[in-house]
Amino acid sequence: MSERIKKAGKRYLLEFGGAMTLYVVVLFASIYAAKGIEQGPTLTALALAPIAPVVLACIAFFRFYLNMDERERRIHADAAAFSLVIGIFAALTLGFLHSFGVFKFEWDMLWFGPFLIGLWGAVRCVLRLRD
Amino acid sequence: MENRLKDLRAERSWSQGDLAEKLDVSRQTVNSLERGKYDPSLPLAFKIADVFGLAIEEIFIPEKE
Repeated sequence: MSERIKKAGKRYLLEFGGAMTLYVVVLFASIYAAKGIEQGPTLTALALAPIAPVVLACIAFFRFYLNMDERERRIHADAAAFSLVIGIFAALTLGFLHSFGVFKFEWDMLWFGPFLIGLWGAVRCVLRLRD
Repeated sequence: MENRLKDLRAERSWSQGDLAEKLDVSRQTVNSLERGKYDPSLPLAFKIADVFGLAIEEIFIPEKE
């Protein structure tokens, strides 16, 4: 692996790890601080606070993405496209089942993001095996 | 697409890591290129040709239809 890619990988681990650590801290702090607070701008700010570290993680990822070599970038892009299609399919399927009353469940959009990220990672592994 | 990368690299006694460093790609990418699993973009193909001091068509063998 070229030195430039190695350096980019190390920087990504540091930046992404830092952002995720910050996410856990902000998440628990927001949940704790939101207890007993009524609807209003403060509650909205607390609810949205964990998004900030996620934005930092996304910036770290895109910086890393731009430093990948072309094959690795293609694997990430192919996996993202595939995950998007599966994600849309899953959302539509569950949506129709729910709307028609076939399958009753609680909507929790919080899990849709991690589902897509997990799927994306799994597809990347499969694509790497193919190459 | 078939190519002569592995032979050309061996002639120069370069490891996959050495070639990866010269091309600014990962070692896995060099491995995929050598096995014909990944076809490089035109800029990377020109870079490969430059590193070996050959023309692109002397390294890559297009598939016959």
